[in-house]
Amino acid sequence: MNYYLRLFFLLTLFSYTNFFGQNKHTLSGTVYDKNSNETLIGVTIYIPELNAGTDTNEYGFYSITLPEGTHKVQVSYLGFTTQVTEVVLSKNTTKDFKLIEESESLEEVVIETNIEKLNIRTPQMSVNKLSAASIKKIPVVLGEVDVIKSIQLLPGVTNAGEGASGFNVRGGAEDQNLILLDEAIIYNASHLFGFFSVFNNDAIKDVKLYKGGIPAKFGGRASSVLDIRQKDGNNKEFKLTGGIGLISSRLTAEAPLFGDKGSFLIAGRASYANIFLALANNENRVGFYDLNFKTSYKLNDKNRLFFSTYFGNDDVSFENSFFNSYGNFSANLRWNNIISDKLFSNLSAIYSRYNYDLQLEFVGLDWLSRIDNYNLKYDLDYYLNDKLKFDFGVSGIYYKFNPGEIRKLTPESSINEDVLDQKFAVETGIYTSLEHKISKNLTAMYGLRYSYFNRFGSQILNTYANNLPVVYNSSFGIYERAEPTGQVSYGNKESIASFGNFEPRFALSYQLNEKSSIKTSYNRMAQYLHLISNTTSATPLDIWAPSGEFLKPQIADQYAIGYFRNLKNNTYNIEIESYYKTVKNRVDYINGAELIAQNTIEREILNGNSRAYGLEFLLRKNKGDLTGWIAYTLSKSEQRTLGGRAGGPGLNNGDWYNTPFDRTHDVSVTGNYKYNDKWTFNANFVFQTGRPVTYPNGQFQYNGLSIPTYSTRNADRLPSYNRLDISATLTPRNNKNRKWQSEWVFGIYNLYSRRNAASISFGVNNQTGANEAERTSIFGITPSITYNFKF
Amino acid sequence: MKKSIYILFITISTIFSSCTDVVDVDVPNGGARLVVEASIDWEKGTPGNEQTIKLSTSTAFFDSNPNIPVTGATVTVTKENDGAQFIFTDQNNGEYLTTNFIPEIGAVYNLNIVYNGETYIASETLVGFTEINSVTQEDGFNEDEFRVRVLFDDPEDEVNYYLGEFIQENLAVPSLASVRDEFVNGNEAFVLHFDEKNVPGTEIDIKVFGISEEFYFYIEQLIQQSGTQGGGGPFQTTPAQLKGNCVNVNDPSEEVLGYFRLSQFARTNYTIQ
Repeated sequence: MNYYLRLFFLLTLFSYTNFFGQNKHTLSGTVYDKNSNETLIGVTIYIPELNAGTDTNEYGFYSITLPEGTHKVQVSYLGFTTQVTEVVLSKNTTKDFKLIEESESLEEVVIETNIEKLNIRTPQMSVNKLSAASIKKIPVVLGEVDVIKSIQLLPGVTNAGEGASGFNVRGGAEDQNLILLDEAIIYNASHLFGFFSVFNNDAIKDVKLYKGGIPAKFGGRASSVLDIRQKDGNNKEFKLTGGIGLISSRLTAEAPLFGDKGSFLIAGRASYANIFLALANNENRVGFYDLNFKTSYKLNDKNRLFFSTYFGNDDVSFENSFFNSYGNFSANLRWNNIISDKLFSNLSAIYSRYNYDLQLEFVGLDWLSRIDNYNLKYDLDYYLNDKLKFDFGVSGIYYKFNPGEIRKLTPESSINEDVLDQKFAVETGIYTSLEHKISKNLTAMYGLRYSYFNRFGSQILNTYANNLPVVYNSSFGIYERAEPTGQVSYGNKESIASFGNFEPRFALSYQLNEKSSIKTSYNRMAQYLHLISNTTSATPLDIWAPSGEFLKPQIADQYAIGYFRNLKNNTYNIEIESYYKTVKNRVDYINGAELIAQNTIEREILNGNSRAYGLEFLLRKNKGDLTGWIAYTLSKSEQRTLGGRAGGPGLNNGDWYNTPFDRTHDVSVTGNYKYNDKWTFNANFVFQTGRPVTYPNGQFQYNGLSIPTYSTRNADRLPSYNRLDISATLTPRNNKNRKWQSEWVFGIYNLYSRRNAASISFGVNNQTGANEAERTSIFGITPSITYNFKF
Repeated sequence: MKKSIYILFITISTIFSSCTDVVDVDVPNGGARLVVEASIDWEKGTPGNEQTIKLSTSTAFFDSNPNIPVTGATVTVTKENDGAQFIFTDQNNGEYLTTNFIPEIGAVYNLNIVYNGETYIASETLVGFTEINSVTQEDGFNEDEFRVRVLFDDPEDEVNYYLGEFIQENLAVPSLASVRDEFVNGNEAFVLHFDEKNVPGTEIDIKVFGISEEFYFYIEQLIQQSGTQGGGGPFQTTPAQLKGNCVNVNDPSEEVLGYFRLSQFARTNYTIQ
């Protein structure tokens, strides 16, 4: 710690020394979309003659300190017409900018500039941004526009296959992604077990995925941060946006409130699989819905309030058998305060919840589970001078885990009612980060986060001989659950286990010339929550468990280096990155682990390590009639679980084995071609090495059954996965002259109807008694049609 | 309960036009391993003196003749509390038979097999079973399919594990289901049997066994990995090596398949209405 502190002070001093040279003033303000007054995130403010710049933060705010004089200020944002404004700077000045969307720009001449110039300058690397507009263009199955499916087309991002939930970033597990919707933690981002995601694209403003070089303001997950921001709502006029698709319909309303002081947005989406099933006279029900609401109110020029909520739910029921319901709820109250033209602050109070209910009618069982958290955070951006920018803040999260309440479904049920142990924890974080322009070409970012996790009672915990909940049985060569030797009772708020971690973050960019740069970064991340799941892809019924005596925090270290280049006046970008990542305390499960309704998870797990490395290549075309990208990733992701104190060699004989999401090659090509004002065509192609699986290496006869035998974990692979999707968007010509804007989207998913194996299962055909391998493929060729409107 | 959750996920997948087909796959071959199917099953109300132990070797996964009997082995079981020894004589077809076995609930038995100069041992306790109270049927997941529920009393003062075995003519292999008294301790517990072949008129031979905790975890994993549940899919657990309780005394690392279990069971039959 001391070392880092000293480093900070040294650097701060160093930068102060060249601060008193020249008269400087601060230019600050907010950047808006002219049409809707939505604030814009990540807009580049750039002064070419000084090669100085900054970008807007999550609330559209910017601040830059410049020498006195007249400057040409370029304000540019992808998809918007660049503005060049002359600013006379003789004192600290507040200036807001309003950008016009490119498609709506009346001027035919678009000023060509280095839109992504700052991409090259800032030390931030391994980040991918997607706007709601570009997500909308990507062809998807059944026309259901999907953030999570879109980010899987980026290099370094994969998932376990169609219909599987979540995503994997740089060989990390799906519980290692911090998914934030307006800063609220989303624990399960899937609808219908992974077929769709919970994010309604119409309500989304901006999506940012940090795969590495993660800023110090984020913490709590080992692999990535997916930062999704909802729209604030149009504060100029009432707007209605909607769409009718095959799976769901959407409707979004936004309007000003209290003149132009406020705005709101309300967006709803509901599936109607229910209706189809009902029409088919089927008693089964499958459906989801979600509701986004956001409102903002400008108290004055310096203060703004936001309130946003999300509520989404899935309901699945099968006649006389199951009822399953699960969903997320979040609410967030935020206060933006521009303390000075150099100091921006935001205070957020957030509540989020994930809950599910599983009713098994034929067992007479009702099982409820939920996780609640309350999060308070305060973040400040301090734009000290043209060389230094500080970010600092604190956060605290209170968690309450309720892993399961078992209830009788009917009074006659033979179920004994029971409550699995509730768990409580607090996670706090304090961080500071400094972006430092060392020289004209060299910019560094030094960050440090300190996180502290305290798990506390009241809870009664088992004790085990030698403190080992899992022991190695050397005569059978297996890991077994140890018998508890006793119990310890922890009182209310009494600490059970606590952990503190320093998480240094470091990034450096060196600009080779106007067009290209080299960046490198290091980050350490501590993760205190674990998703307990031993299935290939997590299910909504999996439990999040807090760290404790036997479940240690996951500690990830990631190193990355990259080369970034803009070509042809930013028509093309190239990003090449390589990374190496290790994670300590990655749990794996003993053979035959039972995790459902498990009160003593520690008896089912062993702590291991994982490592991942890879090379990513991204070529993007940003301008012209044809836009899109080609992404290629070459990577490896493995884990190893040694016996450690439990004895024995460990799982899989203590050897490294592939993680279920290791994909050697991953290619995505996505393109958008604007043929004319009426027609736009889109296509994407995906090729991936098949997912690692374990194939049987023999069979034996037991109890009249043929049983496959397995040995090495994940040593085999499913056949490679590939798929081509196309879509066409028809914008009727008469749109131009009316308020009602509409479009039709026609899509075909999996055009050549490849039967991609979602899984291959081995077993006995119970009709013939012979062994067979059965492939399950999910989507064959799937056409879709969607109608979207706006007025 | 697990099985029900799997079915839930499988059903979800099928909503989205998922399809399955049989494919050719190259699988590794781990070589022949000794398989011990030493199931000492004592039907309630019988002396239980006749018992069979089967020895075989494993084969390649797609081998069309998976029955490779092991002959020439010496098989004995010793009852630990009184030292009684039961010699299982080689029937030269992979079966080893005894007619003087003495079953006793709670007694520990030791298995000893000498084969090819190697000695294999296992030790297990005989687990009792209460009684089948009744068998009922209810609507299943599909139309014309019925779920069969076998009810029995669960003793309150201990943790109990059960195995249900269902044999019917329209299924080529027995259907197995394991349960424990996790949520129903001390109450009337049940084991469920569901299969799309459970149509009216189907006659089912039903056995419910009391089993040990270790065997429960073994058979639970075995049932999951047998694949007859139509497993697979993103929500399947990663299959893993299935280790039983038989060990080569000289080479504990040798993979010996199968299990030495001793169970009391009750038997009934039921015809779906």
